[in-house]
Amino acid sequence: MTKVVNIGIAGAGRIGQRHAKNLLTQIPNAHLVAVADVEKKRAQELAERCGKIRWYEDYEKMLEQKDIEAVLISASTNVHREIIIGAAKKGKHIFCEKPITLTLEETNEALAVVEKARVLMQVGFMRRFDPALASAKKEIDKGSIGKPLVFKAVSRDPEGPPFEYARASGGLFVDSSIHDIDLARWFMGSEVEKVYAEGRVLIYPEYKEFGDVDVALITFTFKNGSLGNIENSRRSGYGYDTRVEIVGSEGTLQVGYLRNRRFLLVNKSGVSHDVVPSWVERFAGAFVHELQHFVDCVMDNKTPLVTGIDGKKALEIALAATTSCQKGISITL
Amino acid sequence: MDDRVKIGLIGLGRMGRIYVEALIFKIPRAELVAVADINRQAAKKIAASYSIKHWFDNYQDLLKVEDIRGVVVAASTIVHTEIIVGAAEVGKDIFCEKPVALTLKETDTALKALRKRRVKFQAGFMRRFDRGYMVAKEKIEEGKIGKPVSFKSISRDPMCPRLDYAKVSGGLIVDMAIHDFDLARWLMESEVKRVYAEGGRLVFDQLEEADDIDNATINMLFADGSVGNVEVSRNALYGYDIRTEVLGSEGGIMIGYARHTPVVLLTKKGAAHDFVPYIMERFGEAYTNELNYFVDCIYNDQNPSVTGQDGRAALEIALAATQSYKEAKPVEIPLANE
Repeated sequence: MTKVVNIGIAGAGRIGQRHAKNLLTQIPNAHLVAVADVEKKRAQELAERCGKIRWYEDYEKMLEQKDIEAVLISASTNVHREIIIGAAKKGKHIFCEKPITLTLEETNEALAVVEKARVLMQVGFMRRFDPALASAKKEIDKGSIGKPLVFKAVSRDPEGPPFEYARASGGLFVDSSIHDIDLARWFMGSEVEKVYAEGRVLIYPEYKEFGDVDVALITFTFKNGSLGNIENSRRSGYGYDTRVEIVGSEGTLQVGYLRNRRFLLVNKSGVSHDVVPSWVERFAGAFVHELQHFVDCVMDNKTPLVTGIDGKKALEIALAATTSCQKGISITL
Repeated sequence: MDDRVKIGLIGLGRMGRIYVEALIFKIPRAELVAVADINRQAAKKIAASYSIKHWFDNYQDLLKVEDIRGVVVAASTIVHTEIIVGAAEVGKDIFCEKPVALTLKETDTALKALRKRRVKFQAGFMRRFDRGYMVAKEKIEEGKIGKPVSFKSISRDPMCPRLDYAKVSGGLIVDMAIHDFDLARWLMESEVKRVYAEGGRLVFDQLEEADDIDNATINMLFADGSVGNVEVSRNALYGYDIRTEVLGSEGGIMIGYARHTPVVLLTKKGAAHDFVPYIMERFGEAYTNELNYFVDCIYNDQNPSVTGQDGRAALEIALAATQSYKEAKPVEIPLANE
């Protein structure tokens, strides 16, 4: 039986670096052995910082390494499909950042290979591993709020991502709302049946160039008859604001907070406190817990809590929301 | 038939005016028929503006108005005793602002007159009529926190009192902490048997002229062995900050809040909201409730639940705490020297 899981990271960008650091310092039964990135310098630098591990410009070379049991995919979304397929064919277990891909066809193709190769796959919906959201799910499962009736979420980024990132991101719904969509399915215990979305460019006019929006509202109907609503924004102007409420027949659950550090300034102008600056602070723990879960699943050969199917379902809803927003009609799934 | 309870009010200072408004506008079962204040102009003006039948520049004349059933005493604390005794003599029921008097001796004189004439008496501890404190009391009585074992209370005023007020108020502890002492006895359901206080003039040098302090903290031991702490201050320049916490064997209860309006402003600097400005914003409703209760007690012929004895007990704790601060040592209750 293996004592540690050897992992290779494909994609040494912002999120890849975060995962690398967590694997190195927070996950005792993980062993980061290699990184790959098309940008040679980025791969080299990250490998250097992680204790001079192996590095590759070409992820395929990394996948050939026999000692690597699992691959963490944090490259650009447009190459997810080919890396997933390559890794699965080599029998590597897969942790893939969200969204799995930008289209359902690509996702289906990738998941079919994963299924055939019988490797484990987890999708990076880290919010499910946030201690507060995880507790909320437990309470719902215990029946503490009765039957869930309405799902409400707000997710506002402090400011928009760089132009090039936004252009390649798949749009607000696929890039950002997808987190809230995953929570909606998870908390409500039902699939989304109908979606209606409104979205506009209200903050960043340059988003019009690639047909994206920066503020959006999504309304859902679930198969079991319950309802849902999500508000997303690329720029709050004050900080990272993410809140969820699940209204049940016997109570309601509210998750989320504004204050980052636990101090209050009280003076003649009133009471003030800071706000959560970005997703890094809000979900720092969740990023560690999701990786720990993946590594534990690989060790015990258990199916992860968030599978490729979850990634696919969330993508399907996000794409429907995108279409709804573009066409001004509701979409039935 | 008009069966409203006829009320006379003595003392038209800040509190007196608040009570006038409450009696006129918010307590349908009361009819304010007379006001008295040594400031003749104030009495006349207020009587005219609210169409109050009688006005006087002395309380004695007000007490002579026969159909007055209840007297609200909001005059200076130094004249409370003589007004209470005078009102009891002519059989009027009495609501008196806290403190009942500044000494136990005077308080006892007043209580004796009340007993002799069997008139009703209510002491003005309005916090007991605040919705927050009422719910807390209910939860404690229902046993929701088990047996109360530890009491903490914070009372901070947003400003220094006027010097002429500070001089006759009995000092920070008697004037302000007395509310917390009443809450302590009420919520802990035990008498205080020892206090130890520390205090000082830390912000407002002008209080030296009134021989008063602006900050104090008082530790308490209750007869049943439970413990408590009260902090009072005059320099909460951000607002009126009133908080109480009772810890029990099975849980705890926290009463109090900071935000006045339900508004949070979010900007790059962070999140900001306002603070409860002052006493009427926090306890305005409690003041109305306590007077309403007094009027109901007269109407229904029942004795008020906040008695003269409650006023005396809170005063005794406040006097013991003041003495403790001055002598820098713990003081046992009952006080020996009074």
